[in-house]
Amino acid sequence: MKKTSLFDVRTIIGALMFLYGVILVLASFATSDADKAKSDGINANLWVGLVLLVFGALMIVWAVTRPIVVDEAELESDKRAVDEAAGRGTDDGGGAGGVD
Amino acid sequence: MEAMASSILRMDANWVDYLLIALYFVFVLGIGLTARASVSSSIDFFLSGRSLPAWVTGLAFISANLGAVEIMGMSANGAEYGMPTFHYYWIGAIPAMLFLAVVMMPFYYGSKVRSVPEYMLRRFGPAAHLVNSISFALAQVLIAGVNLYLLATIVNALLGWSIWVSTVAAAIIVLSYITLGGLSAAIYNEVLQFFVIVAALLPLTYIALHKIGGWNGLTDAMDKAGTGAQTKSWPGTDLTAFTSSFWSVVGIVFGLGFVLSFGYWTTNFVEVQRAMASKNMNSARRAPIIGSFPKMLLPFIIIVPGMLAAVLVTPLAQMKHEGKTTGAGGITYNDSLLLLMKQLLPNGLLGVAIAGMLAAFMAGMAANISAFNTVMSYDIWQTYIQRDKPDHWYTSFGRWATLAATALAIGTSYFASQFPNMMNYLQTLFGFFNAPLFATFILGMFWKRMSSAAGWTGLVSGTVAAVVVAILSEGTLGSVSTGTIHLSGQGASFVAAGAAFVVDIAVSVVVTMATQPKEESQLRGLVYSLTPKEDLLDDHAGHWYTSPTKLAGVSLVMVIILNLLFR
Repeated sequence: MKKTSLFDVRTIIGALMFLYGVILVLASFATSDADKAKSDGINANLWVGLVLLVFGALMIVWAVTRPIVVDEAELESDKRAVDEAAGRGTDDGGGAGGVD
Repeated sequence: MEAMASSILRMDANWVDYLLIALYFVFVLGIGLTARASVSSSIDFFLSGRSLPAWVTGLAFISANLGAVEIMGMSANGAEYGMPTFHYYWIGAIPAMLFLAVVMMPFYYGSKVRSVPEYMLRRFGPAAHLVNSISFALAQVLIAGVNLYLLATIVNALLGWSIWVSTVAAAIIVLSYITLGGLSAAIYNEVLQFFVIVAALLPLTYIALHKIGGWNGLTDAMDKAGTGAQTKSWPGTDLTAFTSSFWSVVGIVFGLGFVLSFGYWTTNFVEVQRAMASKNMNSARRAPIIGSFPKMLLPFIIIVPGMLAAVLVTPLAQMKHEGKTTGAGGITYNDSLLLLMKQLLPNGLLGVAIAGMLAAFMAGMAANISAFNTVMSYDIWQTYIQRDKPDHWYTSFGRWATLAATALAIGTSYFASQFPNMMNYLQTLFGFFNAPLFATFILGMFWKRMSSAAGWTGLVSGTVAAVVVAILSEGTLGSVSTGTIHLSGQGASFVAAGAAFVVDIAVSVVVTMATQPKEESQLRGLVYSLTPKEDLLDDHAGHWYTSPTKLAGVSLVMVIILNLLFR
């Protein structure tokens, strides 16, 4: 059985960066002149916010358009092969087989 | 003293900052909960089911190392010594990471072990395995204590919570996300943390450079402050404390670049475990190489801000000018990055920065704890205490081991707090645990004659040698050290590591000559000369970027160019 993984690290990174972007851009409208002066006159919240928005969105687009497909049957047989070759579960304790 | 430091470091965080920090923690705990739902067998919990793509394990590989010690320590070194600090990355990390990928990873991944001690078991048998497992578990708990202590001091400085409350709160959060999701959660959090750190440090560096007038502005300002020599990375005499430029270069290349860094990067299970979670041999070998690219650029957003802080932050510049180690309000070089953030970042970005710092400090500890529970569950408990339990029993044992390790880390964090210089304490621990291990490994992988008895005797005598040097030196182990030999600080740790390496090799050779070698049939995949060459080839590499050796070559050329550009 094949299925796409919902637990994709790209979705997680994308979501957090996107939300950070939204919050920073909103905060940038309220950034005081004193705060802007701290950053040498750059409205840092705005620019960083915009970059994070775009970056987050791209990560999510990447995850959606090129999903990781997990072949569960293959994964299970791989795991068994790994355990057996390493001599765990069985007691042969023998040599290692090829990996791929 | 704590109160003084905290008043000058206290960030003026407002609700936007707290919102950003809270959001990060929601994600961290969310990852733990989601990972729990998809963890089914013990190999999922401990090695992430070997299913992660190379770029994820590659980033996790360096993020596991991007903890409190690295961020605070390296920016502090940048503030104090300037460009020579780059050697910790370009000489002290990249070559060893590439060596691990190209030469050592085929043995680790190909022999399908779950941990570094498990390799020892198959190569040298139970005695070496038990020695290594116990010393490893002990080292992890001690280092987790260092990370926890640093984390707590930051929470205390930033938010004003007491050290005790900060320690317990930090421990509980780390505990919950590893217990819930195992290694997958730890790795996902490390990757996430990497992006948050970059999102905070990159703008910080940019703003600081903008303020001072670019790279030329920085070098001009440092020339004016009389520290212009620090804008060049070689020969780095300040860093090594050698008066001769020649010996300084030799010291950096062989001391830092060989014994310490190869010992650290190639045998440290916290790092190696990240690569072993890859989906196949090719990904496992590429993980450290992919990690080497961001690794060589990280100093630009960790060390350079440290250098900028030493010019831009008035009390810090004053302190450096006077040649002191403590400045107004109790600040030290360790506070460079925090002071720069406080001075330059507006509310909002400040929240991202605090979230990033907290994340990095937790990641270091999480990495130690997750390595500890793998070794405790499989290498010690399953091998020597209760053998024939069902798989899920060990997974649940792993969760209890995590709880125990966290409780122990609270104790060792108190112990770590007794040491005035955390970096020296840590280097000493690496000398005890990593230097002998590296010697035994390198000998065992390339010399098929090396016997089982040599494995454990080498390890024990190497560790004893390092401990003896530490006891004889000045203050390395606090009041335990006698000061018989006139070595202190980093110098003492380097000598201790060197002694461990040499004694380990010597004892191993002598013992091997007097004992029976292991049967060659049992060493296939574990020793270089007895491993079929096709196991070491790049499997199905269609492009240069999927071939570990070619990719490593590109990385090596880039790091040489960087060395030439910033010499």
